[in-house]
Amino acid sequence: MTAEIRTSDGELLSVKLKKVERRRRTTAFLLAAPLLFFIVFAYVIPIFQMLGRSIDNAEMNSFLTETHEVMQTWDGSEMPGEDVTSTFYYELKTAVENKYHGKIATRLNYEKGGFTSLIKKTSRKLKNFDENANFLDQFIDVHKKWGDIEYWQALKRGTDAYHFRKYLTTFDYEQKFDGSIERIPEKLRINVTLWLRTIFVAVGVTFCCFILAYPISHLLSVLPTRYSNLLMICVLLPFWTSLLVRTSSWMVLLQKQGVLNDTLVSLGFVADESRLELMYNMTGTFIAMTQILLPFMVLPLYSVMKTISPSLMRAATSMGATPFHAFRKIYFPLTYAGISAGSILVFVLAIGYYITPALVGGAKGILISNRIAYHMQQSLDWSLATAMATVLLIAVLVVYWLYNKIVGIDNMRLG
Amino acid sequence: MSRLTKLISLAALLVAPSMATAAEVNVVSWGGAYTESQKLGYGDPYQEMSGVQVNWIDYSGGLSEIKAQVESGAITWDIIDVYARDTIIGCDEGLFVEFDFDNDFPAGVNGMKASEDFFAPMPSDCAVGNILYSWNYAYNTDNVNFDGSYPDSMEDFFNPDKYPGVRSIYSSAMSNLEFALVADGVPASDVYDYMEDNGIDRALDKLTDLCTNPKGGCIFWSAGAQPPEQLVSGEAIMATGWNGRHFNAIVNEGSPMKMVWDGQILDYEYFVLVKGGPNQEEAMKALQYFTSSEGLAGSAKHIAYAPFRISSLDVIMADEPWFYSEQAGAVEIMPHMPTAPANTENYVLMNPEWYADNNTEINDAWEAWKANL
Amino acid sequence: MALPKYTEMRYRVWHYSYLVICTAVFVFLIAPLFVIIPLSFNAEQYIHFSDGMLALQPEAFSLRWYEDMIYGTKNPWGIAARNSVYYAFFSTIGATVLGTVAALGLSSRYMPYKQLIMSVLISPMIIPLIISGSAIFFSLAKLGLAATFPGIVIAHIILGTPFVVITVTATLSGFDDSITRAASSLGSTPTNTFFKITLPLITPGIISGALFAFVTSFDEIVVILFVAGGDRNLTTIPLQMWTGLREQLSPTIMAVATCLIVLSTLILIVTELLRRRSERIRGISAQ
Repeated sequence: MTAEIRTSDGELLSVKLKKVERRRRTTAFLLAAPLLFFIVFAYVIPIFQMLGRSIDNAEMNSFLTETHEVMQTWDGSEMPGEDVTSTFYYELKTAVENKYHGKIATRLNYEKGGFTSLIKKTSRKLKNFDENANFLDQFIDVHKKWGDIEYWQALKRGTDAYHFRKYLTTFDYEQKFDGSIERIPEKLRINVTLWLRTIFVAVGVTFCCFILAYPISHLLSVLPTRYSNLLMICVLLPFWTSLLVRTSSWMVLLQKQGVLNDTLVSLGFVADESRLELMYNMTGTFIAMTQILLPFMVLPLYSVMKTISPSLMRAATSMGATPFHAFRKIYFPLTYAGISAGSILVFVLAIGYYITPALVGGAKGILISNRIAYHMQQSLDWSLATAMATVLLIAVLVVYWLYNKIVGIDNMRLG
Repeated sequence: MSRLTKLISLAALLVAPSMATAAEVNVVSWGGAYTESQKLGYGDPYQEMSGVQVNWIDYSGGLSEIKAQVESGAITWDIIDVYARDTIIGCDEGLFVEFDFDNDFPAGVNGMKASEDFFAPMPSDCAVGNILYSWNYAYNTDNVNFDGSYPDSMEDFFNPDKYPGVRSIYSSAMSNLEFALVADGVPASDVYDYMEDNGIDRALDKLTDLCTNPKGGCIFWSAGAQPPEQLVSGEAIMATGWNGRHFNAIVNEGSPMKMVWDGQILDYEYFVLVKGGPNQEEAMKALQYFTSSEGLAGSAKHIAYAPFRISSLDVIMADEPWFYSEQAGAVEIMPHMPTAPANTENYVLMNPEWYADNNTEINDAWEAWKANL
Repeated sequence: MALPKYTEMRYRVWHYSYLVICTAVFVFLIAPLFVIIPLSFNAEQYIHFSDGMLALQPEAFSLRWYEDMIYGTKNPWGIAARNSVYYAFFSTIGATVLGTVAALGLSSRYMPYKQLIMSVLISPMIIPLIISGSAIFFSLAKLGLAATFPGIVIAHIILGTPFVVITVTATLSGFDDSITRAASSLGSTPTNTFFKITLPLITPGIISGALFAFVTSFDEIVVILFVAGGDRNLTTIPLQMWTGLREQLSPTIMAVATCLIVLSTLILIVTELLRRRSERIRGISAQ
């Protein structure tokens, strides 16, 4: 029989140990807690709230609550009855008095084009309405579009408190009023092009970064410290330099009248009239992004390669492997961790890139982030912007999850 | 720890002066030569007269920024210089103050009351007229060799086979659609009738031909200062733009450029007063001065835009040569105005209602077109 | 990197082409930065190397764009620089304190839900800035903090903390626990141990995390585009550069860019000194 071990104050050791452990757990958690709460409340929750905007239409619903309710009994197969039109008339009247009919017009216009002018014209004429006569006829008198049933169907749909249609728009699809889902007319398609372009650029830039980073990371890892420190400046100086400085340096280089074209012309490689179009297209975006993201590939690769002992390769060659064979079988597999870390870092950064494409890419070189920013800041269609942001976020989280699976976040290193 | 506290309080002290508030008004306009003309023409005189500081902020058009400010509850703008389209949209959405026109704005020096002195009716209750300007195009006379023949019509702008080289066009649909239809043979006065009837597609097809032609090609400008700069640097061989900016580049900077007035678009520009702006009362007073007969005439001293008041034109004509700059000296300005008879032989009158009503459709079609180039 | 004498011809060729490739990549990395510097001393208004500059004639160079940067009225670089420093200073303090404390907790063996919490704390670094920018803007707007000084500082603290957490955790992961245990067995209180032993050892990590946070705030452009909301008094250097670059490349921007390159060189020197110091203290080679 084993005697129970007690501590000096007479408590059971196992109990005491558990207590100590619990206290340590609490201490550890309390240390992380301030930042955790800060990030959760100031960042994570706002992100979810923002994503909610992609399906939220509550404001519109509150503008025309009664119309929406009355319309629930209308099946949309023929023109709405007086119950609907009269309710709509009174609610629109309130809207005009309180000056939010402009918002109604803007929102409904997302459902069906032409609503802006329709609501505006109707609002101006509203004071001439005879409240005892047939409302539908008077609406049609004001604007013949009210005779088109689709506008009433759009009104019904546009006042739902929630909708998922923006996710269709994200992929250039639309829901017709009969419920069927179709692709939008070819001339209006834009988002799928941009998604594909974004993925292409992100994958392409990641691959180019890998191709360019591998040899120099290797060189940096085998050179004596004196030299490698010097060469490391070439990687670290761009790394620490402002993104806008680096983007502007590419603008200087790539412009039609820029340094690169000037040099090519003065060397006689290119005629002055036919200077190369290096900017305001995909070429510009691609080149600039590769250079800007390259350090993010070099640093993880370098830190992995630094740990590989040169004797491994020597051993392999001494046992008869050709240098190429030794590289493929021994060295390369040892750098997998660095490759995956660097690739996923570059890929995640590239897929959300915004500034460089906007400045260097022109109309032809923009990516999906620029489209999100456009809807955020220009068209102000925030539900569409947030729907696209949600899709982008999911894509990034999937990659992040993979990264975590393969490498582990704990192993993330910055230089 | 105490050292840190000291540091923070020191920093707080340094921040403090920037938060001190004197009487000021934040006016948002289009930057470059145009803002300069406004500043010299009525901003600085008003500041001297009233002691209220007038801050000029640059933007590149559109209502998105002010809408975002209103949405976020942090409004920092007082007066905005906007397109007619945006006075309509913004007024409908309740962003701007509605004016009681004849009470809010002074009569002209000729004695006419404000609503009659401004030579066109306001597009909305929130707008007060500012200038009449033109969208036209210019080319670089030095940089390119057109073999002795120079472009002189809107068709030439869209004919890269005859005049090869990159064109710089506005980054939104406005002006481009009109130019394309005129170049495609639509009579200038009927442009908007055609727009209703599949005209957008027709215009975009015409633009596609220009921008995808290997001898042509398009770049886009978004700030008014860009077109002359792109012409001078050689990034573009022809560029659409605002006549005052072209004029400024030619007269003040001596740039080798020439404007083509065929197919020009005449357009009005307006001021609006932001509802709930930080200095709404001061801003109203400033606006009254800006849009007075002398105020509007004042800006024409520095740029070739026609003032919106009849009385201001009288002031100018009585005192020609009215325009003055250090580089160019005194210049007779009336022949350079977008309204001068020689410049209005074939012109489109901008229809802001059409833009306000069809804003979303136009933008969607335009953005998709641009991305699929 | 000298090759042994017995190396075969084809490996020699391979070796030298490898060196050429590496040189090309290094040039690709660094050359764009050096193009900017001479152009900022251009006497002309256009962004290209004039014949005079190529012939190294002194009159082709001037400091006029630096004068324009300091005294010019078109862009408020002075306000922008002051704001950038303030935002960076305050957000660095916030991010460093919060991040370091959290990293101490996260490095403990007893930390519950370590993986999950780490993921949440690092998320601002992973999630595309355009999404972060919009989300932070909406939430600050709701609190009435959009387009205000504290609002921008909060936004920058959020973006800066992941870097501090990562660098400090990395430093702590190489930390030998037996040192603190030795200290307590010798009668030191936990607080005393922390300030006398732990803190000095992890200081290089904290400073390099703080540097990251500083640079993140100082160079930040996407989030501030949303959060600053057109207020000229809140503008920063990157915001001014962004506005300027969207219009036209001006020599003044080249001058500002040159100043920023000098700044990043200074940061590079500081980080290098830190690395050496940390190597010396811990007597181990850098990771």
